[in-house]
Amino acid sequence: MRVTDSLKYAVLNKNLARIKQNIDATQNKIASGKRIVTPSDDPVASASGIGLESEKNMNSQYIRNLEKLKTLGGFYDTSITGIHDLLTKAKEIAITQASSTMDATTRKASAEQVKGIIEQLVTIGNTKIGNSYIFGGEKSSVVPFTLDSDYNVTFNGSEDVSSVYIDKNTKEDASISGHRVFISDTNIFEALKKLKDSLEANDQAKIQASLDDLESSLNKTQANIAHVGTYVAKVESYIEYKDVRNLDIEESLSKMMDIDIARAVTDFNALSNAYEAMLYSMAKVQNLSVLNYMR
Amino acid sequence: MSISSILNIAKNALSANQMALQVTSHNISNVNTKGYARQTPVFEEESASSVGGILIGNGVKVDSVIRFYDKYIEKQLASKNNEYQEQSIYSQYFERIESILNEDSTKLTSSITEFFNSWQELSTDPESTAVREGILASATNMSRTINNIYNGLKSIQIELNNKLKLEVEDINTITSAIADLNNMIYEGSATTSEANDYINRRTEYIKELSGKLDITYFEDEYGRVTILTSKGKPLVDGNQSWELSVMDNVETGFFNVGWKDSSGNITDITSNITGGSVRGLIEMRDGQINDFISDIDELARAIIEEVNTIHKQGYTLNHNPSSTDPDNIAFFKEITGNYSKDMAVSDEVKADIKNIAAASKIDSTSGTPIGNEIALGIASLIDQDILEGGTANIVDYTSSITNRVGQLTRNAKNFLEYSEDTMQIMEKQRETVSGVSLDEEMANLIKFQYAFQAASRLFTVADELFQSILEAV
Repeated sequence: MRVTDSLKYAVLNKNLARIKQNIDATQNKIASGKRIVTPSDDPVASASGIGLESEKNMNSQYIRNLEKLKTLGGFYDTSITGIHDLLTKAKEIAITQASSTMDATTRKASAEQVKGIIEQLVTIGNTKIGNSYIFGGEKSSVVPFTLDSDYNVTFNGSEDVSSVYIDKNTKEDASISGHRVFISDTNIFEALKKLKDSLEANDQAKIQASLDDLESSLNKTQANIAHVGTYVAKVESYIEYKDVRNLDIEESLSKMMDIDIARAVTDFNALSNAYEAMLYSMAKVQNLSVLNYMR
Repeated sequence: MSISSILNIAKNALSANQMALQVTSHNISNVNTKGYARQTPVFEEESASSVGGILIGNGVKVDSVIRFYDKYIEKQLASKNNEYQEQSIYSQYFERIESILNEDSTKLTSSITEFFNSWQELSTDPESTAVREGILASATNMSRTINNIYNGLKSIQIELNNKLKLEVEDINTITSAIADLNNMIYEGSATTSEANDYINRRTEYIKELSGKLDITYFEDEYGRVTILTSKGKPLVDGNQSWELSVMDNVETGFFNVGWKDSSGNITDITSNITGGSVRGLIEMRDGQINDFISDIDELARAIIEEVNTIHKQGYTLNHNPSSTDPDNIAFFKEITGNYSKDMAVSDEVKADIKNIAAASKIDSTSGTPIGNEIALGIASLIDQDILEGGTANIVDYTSSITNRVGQLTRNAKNFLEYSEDTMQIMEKQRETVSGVSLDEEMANLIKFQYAFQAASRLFTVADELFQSILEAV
């Protein structure tokens, strides 16, 4: 085969260009720290990378939702424990005042105490975080409990509660309705009102009778404290699950997308050596000419 | 036989070798000329004369100058170039499309995820206006991302169309140059070095033309070449050439390629072009880019329509308490086509973020919206199979776009590399036959120089012979 001058240079040029292109690509990978810079570097991996990336983003949102529920759970815990304390206090008053040694004066004073308890309970029932009343149920923008001058309490909220997503296709209650806490089964406010009325009336038998309702109110509240505990525990375990899942995703993403620096640098060195060798041989080939021997 | 015949032989030898030196110089100077085929003089003995019944030689003459040239290699090179140029277009433009669709820079999927996440955020706090600001911001961002992808793809499509026009103009320049060269080759003698150079140039032009268009060609008995499109429309015949032109396609708004006959009537030959850069440009413009644009359109359409359907059933913060009907406010601007181009948040929502609905019902007494069902409904769209006729969700869809553009780009790059390699092999073979080797030419230079010097020496010898005779007189 005849090797002509322009062929000699064309081949050199072509090879240099190819090595340079590879050097450039390797350099890009080292600089970006990524094995995949464009989808064509690995179409399948970049496509699944998108899926994982988006799952990670969605998980972060679920975690945000769950964190909110957790904060809310804290509020419910404090509130319902508060309710329990107040009810215990009311029960003590009822037991004391049911005794035959008490008279109208002490009962009158105790009635004032019970009024205070009712007022405090209404305040708890109207706890607000941000824009929403936590005991309002779905109607979180309406004041849930109103107290009239007769110490009758009306519930303006909703029995139903909103829910939020805590995972794909999985919803969790976003609140606990005041109906469940105060009204259903035994109406706490009515039980207290009954106690207040019987104290004011100085009716020992009725005071005794009101104890039953107070007892079942306490039982219900204890059950609610347990409910909040389970709720918070569930939320916390979900948060942990989601955190772990995101770590897994990050690890897979890194395995899929990130470059093995040591290998990239080795590749880079090999390529630069090849490039230098090409340049060296080019210089040598240049000297191989009959022109060097002609004068 | 006379002494003067020695002078004659010397003269012939001088001019023959001088001519050879000239051919060699011509080769040397064209060492880097593209498409040049090296030439060599063909020496031949002058016819002998009979002296006393004995035939005595009369020296040398240059019979012709021939070029080293392999018709079949040239033909293959031209047809490989047809494939190569088409592949270069694909590779070049797929890389551009890839960069437009590259999630690393567009963040398309993450902006969509952000958008749906912001609805979840609203579901946890349905009355909040701050969260509504967040929804507006993420919706605007997502719409812009989609608009930008559309604009990027569209501008490539327009660029391809403009380039097609330039290619057609180039083709016309080339065919008319080939027709001129045909004429000059016909008029000049086929054996002269000049005609050889014309042929070299024409070969190069044909190769270039074949890079743009699929053609067939053949030479007639006078060395003129006739060129037809592969579907038989004449482009060059003898010294005549036919022009191509672009014509507006009313339907697409882009150019079609037309062939002009000698009376100026134009025939549409767009669908008959099956190779070369022109084919690459048309295929890219009408096929691949359109596919990607309609993919993005479909994505935008699904998001706009699904979100709007749910949102219109909602009650906004601006809900009029005296009405029990949903507010029927569209979240995205309602459009019927060009979804990716015109996707935007509706004017009502842009004007007042309180027009964003979170609730699907109202309080029967106060008439104020309650609950977060609308926000939940919209947030859950990201997991639902709302695309490709209910078989793919948004993330499946965008990742399959990335997968496809990646595969196509990679294939285009691989094909181009393969095509480049085969081109290189052909070029090598061509160079082996036709290329100039400087070492060879240098050797020839010395060879002819010595022959020239020796011939000059003959003059001196003849002169001395004359002198001897004259002195003897």
